[in-house]
Amino acid sequence: MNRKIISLQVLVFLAFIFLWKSVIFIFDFPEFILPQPETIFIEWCSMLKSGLLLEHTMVTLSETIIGFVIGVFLGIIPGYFVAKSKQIDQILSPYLVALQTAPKIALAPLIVMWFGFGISSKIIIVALIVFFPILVNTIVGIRSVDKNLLDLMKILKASKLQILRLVELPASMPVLFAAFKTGITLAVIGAVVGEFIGSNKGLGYLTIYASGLMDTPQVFVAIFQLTIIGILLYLLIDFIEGKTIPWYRKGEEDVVKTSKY
Amino acid sequence: MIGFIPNVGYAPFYVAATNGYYDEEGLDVSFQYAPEGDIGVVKQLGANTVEFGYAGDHAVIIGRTQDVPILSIQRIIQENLFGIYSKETFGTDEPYDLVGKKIAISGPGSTPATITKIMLKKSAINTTQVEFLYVGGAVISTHLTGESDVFATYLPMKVVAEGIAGEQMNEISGSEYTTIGRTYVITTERMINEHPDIVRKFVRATQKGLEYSVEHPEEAVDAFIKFNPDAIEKKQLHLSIWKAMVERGFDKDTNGNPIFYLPSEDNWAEKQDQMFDIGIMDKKTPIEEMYTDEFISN
Repeated sequence: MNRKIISLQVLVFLAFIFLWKSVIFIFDFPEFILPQPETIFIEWCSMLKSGLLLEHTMVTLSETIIGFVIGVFLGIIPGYFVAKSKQIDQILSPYLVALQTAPKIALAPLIVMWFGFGISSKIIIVALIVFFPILVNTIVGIRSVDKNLLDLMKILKASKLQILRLVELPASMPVLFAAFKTGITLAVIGAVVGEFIGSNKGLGYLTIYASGLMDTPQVFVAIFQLTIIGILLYLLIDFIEGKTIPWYRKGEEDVVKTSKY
Repeated sequence: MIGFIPNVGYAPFYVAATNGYYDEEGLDVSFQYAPEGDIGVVKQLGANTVEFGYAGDHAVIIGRTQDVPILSIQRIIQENLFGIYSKETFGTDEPYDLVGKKIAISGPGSTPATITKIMLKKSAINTTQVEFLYVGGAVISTHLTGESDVFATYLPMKVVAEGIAGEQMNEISGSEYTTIGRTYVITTERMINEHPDIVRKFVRATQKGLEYSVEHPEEAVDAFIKFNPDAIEKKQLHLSIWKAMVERGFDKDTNGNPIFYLPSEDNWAEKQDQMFDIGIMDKKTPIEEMYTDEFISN
């Protein structure tokens, strides 16, 4: 990233802060409706110093990551078989679509009731939310493999495992990583929804607690912390993508360069 | 407009609308609901999206602490109907019995959470000696499934739980420890300054609705059902709830008639001190800013 881009990013941030303060000034919003950015920052520093924010963050982060990993495996494994077998596709598709259509947010109170108010219910909610985008993209990824490559592998008498390892997996990786990026942002939402419904810790809990006491700056602290988690996890996946499929990233960059002309 | 969550406990307002008391005062009243509960009502008042609200004293004090310009103008449920309930007794039926127990509570910043913490503090029990389960709307189900040892909530929920469980619930009443939990009609300083006539009319009509609801429980429930038709399925349950609220929520004079107190006739200073002492507020507000008798007394 060059200096110009960084300067522009800082400029956008400053413009956002200016807009925020302008809205407060123009509409004369009191603090309980919209606090000043600096009030939120001070609250954020204070909570960070006390260790309270880190404690809640770690809970939400754990729920998000564990649920995401489970959701990824739950999505990839059936996704592969659905992609490879028309029969499995026909049998499972209606149920998989039904599972996706059922609003997970509405299911959340039941999941919390069934699996308790600890971390496990939040992990299940996260896994359920992450599951479908991963599943769909796995199917798309596996089916998008170049047929000529598959034919070549067959001619070379490659085993199914070799085809998976050498052709299908690398070819579907770009699509899968796109799903991971969508999934990780949804995972954060899932963890927070679970915490909203019933929890003793986590940033969702903190939001509800602060909201119940009309501590709007603290509500914003929790929201910003969640945003930071979401961004960092997204960047982490982006980083892993760059390391795992560098050839794809390079190709993407080439396309961007070419499109300039 | 008025903001709260549909509940037979709000029958006085439905009666005032059904019996035409608001119309008689020339008021066009519609009901809006705040899923966030009492604190949501205070927020809406602070944002000037509603003119009147119905909420507990807890929300009024928190609102004033956060500089929301609101005042309580009329007392509705006169007593604190909070309790900690369980299927079994644990001994003396005192907060001491809660040590080591799991307590299901709706939300961490809620009135039940505050009252429970006050009860524990007054009994010299540290909050670390119990386990709070913040379970949203599942306070009853978590108890009936055995996930919590007790549940902290209001009398109406106790009646519901008893209906589901088919047995009486044991109770540690909150009213012996605090008066927090009484409910009020609240409005904004702006309404009081700019439209005192409307405030007076609203209070007068609501008072008539309140008195009628207390004297005629059946009609009170009918009015509630009129605004919430789905509730007809459980009319008897709602009637039981409202009768229990009337029985426990109002002091009676020597003739057995309910007493309606003024907003000033409450322990506002004590309530605020208790909330401050358990650490949910970092400053106090002059109690005169929390209420006015101006409209009900006239």
